[in-house]
Amino acid sequence: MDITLVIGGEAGQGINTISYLLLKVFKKSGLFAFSCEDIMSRIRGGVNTTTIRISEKYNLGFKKEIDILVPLDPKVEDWVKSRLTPNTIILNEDKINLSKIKKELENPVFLNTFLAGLITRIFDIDFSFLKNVVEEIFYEKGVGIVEKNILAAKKGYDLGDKLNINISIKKSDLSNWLLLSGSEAVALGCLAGGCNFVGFYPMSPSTGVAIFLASQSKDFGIVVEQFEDEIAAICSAIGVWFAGGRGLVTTSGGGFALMEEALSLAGMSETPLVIHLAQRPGPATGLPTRTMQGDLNLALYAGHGEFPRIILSPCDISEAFYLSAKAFNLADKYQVPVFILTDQYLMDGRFMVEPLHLDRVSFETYFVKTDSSYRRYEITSNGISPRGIPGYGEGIVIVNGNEHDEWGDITEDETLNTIMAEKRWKKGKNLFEDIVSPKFFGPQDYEILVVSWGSTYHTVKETIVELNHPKVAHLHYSQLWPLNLEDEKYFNKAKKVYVVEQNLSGQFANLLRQIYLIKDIQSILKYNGRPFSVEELKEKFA
Amino acid sequence: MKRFDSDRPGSQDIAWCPGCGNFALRAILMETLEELDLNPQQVVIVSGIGQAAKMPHYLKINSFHTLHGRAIPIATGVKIANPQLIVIAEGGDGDMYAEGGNHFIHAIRRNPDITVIIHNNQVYGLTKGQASPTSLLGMKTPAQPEGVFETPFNAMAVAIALESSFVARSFVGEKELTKNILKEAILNKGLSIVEIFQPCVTFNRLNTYEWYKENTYILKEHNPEDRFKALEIALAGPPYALGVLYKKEKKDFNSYIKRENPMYLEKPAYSKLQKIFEKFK
Repeated sequence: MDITLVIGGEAGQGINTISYLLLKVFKKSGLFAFSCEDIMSRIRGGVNTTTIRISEKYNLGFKKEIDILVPLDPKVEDWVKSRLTPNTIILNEDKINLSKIKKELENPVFLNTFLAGLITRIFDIDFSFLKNVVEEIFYEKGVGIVEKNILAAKKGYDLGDKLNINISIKKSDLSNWLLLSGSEAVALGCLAGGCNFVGFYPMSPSTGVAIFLASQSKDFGIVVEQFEDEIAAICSAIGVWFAGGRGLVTTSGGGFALMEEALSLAGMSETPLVIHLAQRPGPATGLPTRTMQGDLNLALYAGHGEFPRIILSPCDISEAFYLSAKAFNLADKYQVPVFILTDQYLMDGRFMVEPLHLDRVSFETYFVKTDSSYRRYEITSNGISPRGIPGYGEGIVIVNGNEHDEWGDITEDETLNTIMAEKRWKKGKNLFEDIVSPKFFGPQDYEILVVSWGSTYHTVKETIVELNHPKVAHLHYSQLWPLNLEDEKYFNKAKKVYVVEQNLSGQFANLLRQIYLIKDIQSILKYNGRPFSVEELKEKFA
Repeated sequence: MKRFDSDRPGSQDIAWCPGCGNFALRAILMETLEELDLNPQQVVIVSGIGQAAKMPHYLKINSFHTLHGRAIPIATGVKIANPQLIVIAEGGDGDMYAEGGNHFIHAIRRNPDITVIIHNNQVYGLTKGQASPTSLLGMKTPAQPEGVFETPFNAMAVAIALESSFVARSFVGEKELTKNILKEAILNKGLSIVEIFQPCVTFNRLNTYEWYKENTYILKEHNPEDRFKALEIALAGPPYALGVLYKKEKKDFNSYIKRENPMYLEKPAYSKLQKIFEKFK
């Protein structure tokens, strides 16, 4: 059993609240589900929808076709028309008289819990689960509000009873699992990685990470500061790393574009840095609240001049946690900028995930205590100079964005300029020791290789599974740079390579073609701010 | 050798023109830091880009030579990561008021406990003679051949209007005054803004050493806590007042975020993280 439920309404009508309520109820009652948010860039009006997929098999692919639609506003049906099928159950005014219900409720704000009650009943879930969730979520608003919400929920539940739509999905024990949004997962990963500073400027869809960390700042002592602009945000994070902290800057494409010079400073000065870049469609303002995979090139090539970097792109909640934590160790170890490249689909979606294990996370520091002979840019065999921090030891730490000598002072000496440039580039070779390998799925004797990266993982994988073709395999990348040259073994074996990505120019395909000299590579692209669906991909591959 | 003197190879050939005001400022800075009984290991100079910003390379001191206009936010990060360090942000007038203008304004609001030293020579030296935000009206340069027509930026007035924690102005020709101001600035808990006039002997034929001597005066009998009087003084000139123009006791940024210890000593709080996981179940 697999149901795609879509609830839609105007911005401000509480779609986000209903979605969250329902996911919590589903989880408590043992139903695996996840949500995907389709949001407009406005605070009131328009149409926002949430897509919740409930499945027995823990499926995480995005589904286009709607099984049940709950429209809270007349504009919704038209908005989702391309997703409706003849079998879609639409709970419109014919089935539930929303205008009458709104009048009967003490306050239209209770409509959210009313609908949660209705849907809870449709899914054959005992009311007690919803009651528990309402008590938990509205606890801080006081007993009175809690009771009114429970009353509204019960009314909705009773109405749901009358609809005679009983969906029975096999339940399992999800009590130990976690319900997290992508923002929360990245934020928790950063905490696990020892992040103690966040510099940011609000920008969708990256702000959630900063907001969550701000909520934890009192407890964890993490400093979260909103700066006057993106340049100050990244600069402060660089200053933090220089002086011994672990700084994060979180932003989106347009914000990161402002940060390029500072990125270049991190590269030249060999200061570690972790950048969370949550992608949304561009160019310029683009679609602020929608999803895209269009900033790979930006992350790859940003920053004038040349210096090594690492680009990680988590495929789901679990990776968002573990890779974000890992990013901090990598930055410290190799003294390079590390990108955590995500997107709106992952950031705003809510997913159920198996318990996250802190014993799979490690906290490794690489800075040193300096002595009086310390030179920050000492030439070493692998290009990585021991990193001192000011105030820790007898030494003096001099760090410089100008070309420099071993002590860090400016030099225009021809020989030193050559040596230092080579030293910085040589550092890049060490990065191959720590690469996140791509995930391979499928028959060993495949002929067609479907490649993907980032948050499309589960959607693509499900497509491949459903197509069930004996000669088709799936290769998914969670580290986009550097690429392991040994991966050519995957591409040499394939007669045809398809690269699925959500951008206009096939950025990852171009990179793969360049690095692995792949002759026959075809892009499967989507670039309208909406995520690929399983149905859509199946059609493209058919 | 003096405590803050550097014997590094990169410190020997000082890249300033003979007669540059930076030489005097360097001597003043070294004496100030030594007289405050500070050690090079506990001080960090974060500099922007320009001739002024080369200062740290000619000293025995921790330093980060950053980007044009960005010394202040980077210095803010340094102070957050290790509040026990004495942090100085240093650069020229173009660095701090043009490229770094936004950071200048908001640092006053944020009030990190750092000292900002602005070398004000009213011209862009390293890029060879363009006007700076503080160039006088009518000054002719290769980039402004008809003469500057943009109203000069009055950093002192802006800082006072925004109630900055410590606002002072000096001139490299007044050694004792500058030293006293710098000492007070460094000891002040909060953002200390010290603008120091200096001549650019190569590119500024208008604001020479003599011009500064004639067009500045040392402020006497002024209550620096009188904001409106301070503003009046800042808005007046020439002649320009030298001294501590304004002071306000304000809680500094580090006090708000309750940080006193260096971040490098910290480890992730895994047990707290485990508890948070429970909330997401």
